[in-house]
Amino acid sequence: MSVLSPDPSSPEGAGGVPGRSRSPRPLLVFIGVLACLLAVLSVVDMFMPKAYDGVVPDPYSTGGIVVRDLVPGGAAEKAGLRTGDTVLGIGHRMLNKAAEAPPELRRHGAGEAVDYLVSREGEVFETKVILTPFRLGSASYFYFAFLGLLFFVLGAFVVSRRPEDPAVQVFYVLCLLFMLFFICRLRPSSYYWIDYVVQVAGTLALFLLPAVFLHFFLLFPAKKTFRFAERAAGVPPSARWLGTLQRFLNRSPLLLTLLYTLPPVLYVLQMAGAHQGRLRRLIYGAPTLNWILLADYLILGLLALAHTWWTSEDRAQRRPILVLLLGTVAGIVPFVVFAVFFPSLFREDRYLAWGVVPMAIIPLTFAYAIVRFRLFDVEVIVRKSLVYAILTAVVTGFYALCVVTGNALVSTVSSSTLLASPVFAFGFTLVVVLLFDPLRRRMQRVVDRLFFRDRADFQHALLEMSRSVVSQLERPKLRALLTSRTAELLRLESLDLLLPRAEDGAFADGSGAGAGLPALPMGAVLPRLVLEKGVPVRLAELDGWTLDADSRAFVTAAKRRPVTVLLPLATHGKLLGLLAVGRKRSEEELSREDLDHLLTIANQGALGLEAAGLHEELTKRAEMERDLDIAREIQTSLFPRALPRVPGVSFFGVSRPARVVGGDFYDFLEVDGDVRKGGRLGLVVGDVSGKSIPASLLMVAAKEIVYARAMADPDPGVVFREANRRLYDIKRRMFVSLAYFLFDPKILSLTYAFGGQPTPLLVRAGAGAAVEIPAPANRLPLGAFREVPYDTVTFYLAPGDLLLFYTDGLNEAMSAEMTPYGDERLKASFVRHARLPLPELADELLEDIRQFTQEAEQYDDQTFVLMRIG
Amino acid sequence: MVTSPRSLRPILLTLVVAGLAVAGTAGAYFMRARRDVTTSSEKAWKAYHEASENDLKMYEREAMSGYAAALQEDPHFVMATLRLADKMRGRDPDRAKSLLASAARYRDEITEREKLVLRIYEERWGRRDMAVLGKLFDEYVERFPNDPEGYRLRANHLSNVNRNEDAIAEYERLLAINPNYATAYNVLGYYWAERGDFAKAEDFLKRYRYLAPDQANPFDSLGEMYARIGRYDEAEENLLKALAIKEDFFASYGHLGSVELGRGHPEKAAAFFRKAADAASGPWIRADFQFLAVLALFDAGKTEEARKEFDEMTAEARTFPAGSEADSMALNTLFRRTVFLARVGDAVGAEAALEALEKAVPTEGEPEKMKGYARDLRFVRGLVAFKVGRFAESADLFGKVLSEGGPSGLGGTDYYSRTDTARILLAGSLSRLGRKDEAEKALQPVLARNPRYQPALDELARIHG
Repeated sequence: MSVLSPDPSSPEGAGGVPGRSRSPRPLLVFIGVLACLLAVLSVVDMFMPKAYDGVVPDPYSTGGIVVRDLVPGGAAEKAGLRTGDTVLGIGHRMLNKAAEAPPELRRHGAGEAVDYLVSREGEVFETKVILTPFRLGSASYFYFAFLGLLFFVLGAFVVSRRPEDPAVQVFYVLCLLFMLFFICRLRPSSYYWIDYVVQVAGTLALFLLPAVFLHFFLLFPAKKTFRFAERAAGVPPSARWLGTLQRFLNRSPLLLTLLYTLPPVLYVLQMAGAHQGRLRRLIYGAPTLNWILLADYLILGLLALAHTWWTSEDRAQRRPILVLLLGTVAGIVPFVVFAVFFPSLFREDRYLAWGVVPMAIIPLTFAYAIVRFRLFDVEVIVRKSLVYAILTAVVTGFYALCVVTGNALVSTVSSSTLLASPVFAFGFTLVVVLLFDPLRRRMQRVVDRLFFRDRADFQHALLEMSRSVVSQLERPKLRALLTSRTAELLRLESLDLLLPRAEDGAFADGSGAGAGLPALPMGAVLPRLVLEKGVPVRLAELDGWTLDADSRAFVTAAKRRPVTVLLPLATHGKLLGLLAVGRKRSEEELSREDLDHLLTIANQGALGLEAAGLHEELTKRAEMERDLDIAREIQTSLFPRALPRVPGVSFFGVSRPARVVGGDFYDFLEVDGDVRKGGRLGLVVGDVSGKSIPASLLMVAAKEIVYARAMADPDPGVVFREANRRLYDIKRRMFVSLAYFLFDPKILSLTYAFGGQPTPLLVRAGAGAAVEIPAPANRLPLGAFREVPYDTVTFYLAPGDLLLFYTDGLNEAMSAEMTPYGDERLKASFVRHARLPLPELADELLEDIRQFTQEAEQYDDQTFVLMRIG
Repeated sequence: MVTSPRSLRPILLTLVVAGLAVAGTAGAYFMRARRDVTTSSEKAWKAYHEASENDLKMYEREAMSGYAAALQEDPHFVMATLRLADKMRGRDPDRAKSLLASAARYRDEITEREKLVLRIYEERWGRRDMAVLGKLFDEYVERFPNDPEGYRLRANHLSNVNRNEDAIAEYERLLAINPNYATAYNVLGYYWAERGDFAKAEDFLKRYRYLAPDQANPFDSLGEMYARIGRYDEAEENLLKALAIKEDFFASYGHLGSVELGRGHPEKAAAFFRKAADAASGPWIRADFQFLAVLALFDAGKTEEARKEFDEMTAEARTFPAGSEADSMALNTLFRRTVFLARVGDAVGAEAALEALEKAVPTEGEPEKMKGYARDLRFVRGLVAFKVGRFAESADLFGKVLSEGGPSGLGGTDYYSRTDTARILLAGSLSRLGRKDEAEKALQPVLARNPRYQPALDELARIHG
């Protein structure tokens, strides 16, 4: 919402225009055309050659026309008339006042000799005045006409942009009245029928103008609300009549009616009084009291604007209002002083022009405020080249004026022949040439600051935002940039970003701000069409398109929101999202420039979205890498740093993880003292579901629990039951396959319990086959159920026995055809290489598996421990 | 009904009201009555309108024939009947009365304004009650304040009852309503000339001439005024212009005669007076100019020609039809015979004529008229006394004549100024009595007004020997 636009959400609105009222455009156009016709009529009349005597009459004289001035070289001057003479009659008709001259002159043509009856210093004489063709439109009238045109252009421009805004409508009427006042009222009599028409129009404008002026400043920038009768809590209530007055001023439609009818009523009363001889004086055809009322209204209007400025807390709003206030005061105050009070109080209207000329400041100030501050939410694109051309022309004109003035001054004060010298002319030209460019540059800087700073700021902000969009890798921030910030920069009512939902890929507004816009399924026609067009698609255009039901539902909802344009966010032919662009706050159509900006932002946004996606993926991957590193470290720490040294027994362990981190482990522990001195040796082989830090941690936990329990009670079944309960409590739905073997070197016994692990393979010395050692009854993985009655099995070994403790990664290794390696192949391989030293045996086992799986990916860790007796 | 934005409604409302007001005013202006007289004939109205214009121009004959033409077109035309009756009143009173009675028959068919005019005419020619007439004029002005005719009629009435200043104020009001009412300026010019303010008179008469440059009378009036103050060339120029406009404008011939008298060329004056007599519109005026020619011829020393002229005049007077007009003419002739005999130097005849005149002058009648007779008698007595050499008596009588003088009414025409003649004769009487200083003083008012008035200059020269 612009700082200077009324809040449409306000229940009363700025002017209370009912939403269902018909469009005011025809009425506004009619009024404008009518005013223009009158103005054109007046201007044509002023600049159309007519028979004229060159007498400038004193408008207030009676008993004849007192000659206040004579047009130099005019007919009257040639006929010998002098200032101060009284023209008693023209064309053999007696005249009482200046207003009676027009019909008389109208009867004659240019070049005709007309008899004038003149009184000079008491002597009456007749003289012939040969009327000359004359254009009444003087330089001052030309200025008035220009001023009127300026007002008209300003008013028409603003109303063409914001015809629905009540304040703009009143402003437009105000501009038209100013135009009529300047063009139809401040004009000399033309002695033609047009005079009657335009003077009546000018008088009407004079009556309406002050009221409209006040009306405008009661509406602008927002409807003024009077609160003088309100009291803070604890303060005694104000008088009842004050409350009534406040209600009247704030709500009653009679206020405006009163404002508008007072001047004409006053006029009628005074003119009625004039018939009874009570009217003392008319100033330019209007009674003094009307002029004073005009001044009062103007001052009240200025006070209303000053009050708005004073009470406004928004700095951004205060600045343009201050500019308007200063400009309007600079235009109005001289008018009130020289054009109203001087003629009214001192009966002096020679300085009328001094009061009218500065009024040009008013339209110029408004125009400046529109360009500079987007007054009325109207945006104007001022082309620099045009402004610079005007600037150059102004500077050139200024220099020309300097030359003329300089010459005039020098020739006045000096009779030197210097001026006649070509050296002087050359020197002067040189000075002008030298000074021209510096002055132009200096002024250009000022112009840039005055007119283009905001524009440049806007472009800069847009550029910055574009850069931010590309560099922003966080989606929420990117969304905010693409929606809120863009809407703010382009002054949009709404801007929604629709992105594919993770779950179904449908385009939806995930922010919740785009309430009312349904999701567009991935397969809907609309996203594809928008992508194919690749340019902004106006919603209105879609009416002619064949759409599926989802797209139609979306379009209907979008029109309700209202959305005006859809833009694709796409890269490399892939639609990453949709921008649903709402209306401009100014209610103007989106300009080509706006759409260009939006398309640029959409393209940048698409790149931003793509970059954000890549960034998210990379981040995930990096996080995974980090996790795996940690898991790997943990896992590495679980494997024994060195193999146990047991006399007569050799061990070898291998673990080949499937990915970066494996879930398998094995370890040795001395349960009851040094194994070399007869202590028992524990072997733990495990496999945790999942390959991650949690799996590793669970593995650590399982290992530590087993170790702790094993130290207290070395019976594997007991250890497993205890460990199972603890692991169940730690982590649900994550299991640990574990096998715990307690080897007693003294008696070569192996006591053990399994939990989800494959049964170890045994090759006896001289045997040609591998067998499984006896398996316990309960072999469920640890952590699957709270209570599992794990049992312990003891098996006695013999010298020459070769044992293979392994995880399922060996027998379940998959070929490319998804065929498992299988127990039989494992056993065969184990037997085949049983005579080899343990490290080589381990290599061959793995090589056989690799041969089987070929290039197929390894899905599970491959961990095993080899143990040979003797 | 057109709906409009609420913000524009007050403006539109004001515009609509103002528009209606303007339209109403314009309508009233164009719908106003274009005619102010009742007639069924367009031709009659045109003839009447033209006659009224000529009336204002003082073209008596044209005015009369115009009114008559209007009546011919529409015999029931009341205003034309009344105007014609007014013109006929001095010439044929019976015919005038008959016309008035004829107009009264259509009383019910005319407008209120015309009814009022009819009542005024009836009162003027009937009971002639000045108070009633005054009220009728007041009513006319009150009911028709924008009709200049009402002010003119009331001004004439005020002048008739010797309220000259009020009459002039009435003319000024008339001009405030209609500054182009030309004859009002003529009246004001004469008024101020009568009171010796010739600058003001010239101002008004120039305005009159300016407004009616196509008429003879404005030039004539201005020429007459110039003649009175000795600006003979300007007087002659204007009078000749008047005659160029209307060659039978007898008054201008008469004033040219006055110019020549002032210049000291009585023979030329006599010629102009004769022309005036020839152009005169009625026997009374003709007789006046004939007698002026007689006097001028005497001044020129052409006694025989004067006698011949006088005889011709008296012969024509005798042809006047019997009645009140013939009696008045006979009395006038008796006055003129007395003056004639005195100028011829026939003392006995003059004394006898004077005696007869004194007997013939009525002793009862309107006071103003009686005063006039008395003054005329005194003048003639003085002239006879002067001619027979009774200078003390003549000085006394002329002194009285002059003391009774002063501005008369709204001013009038005096081709052979009786006042100036009385002053010259007073001066002549006094100088002959040896009272030269007094004689010189007696001439001063004449020479102050017109330092080029030759008869006065001649007398002054005679006084100084």
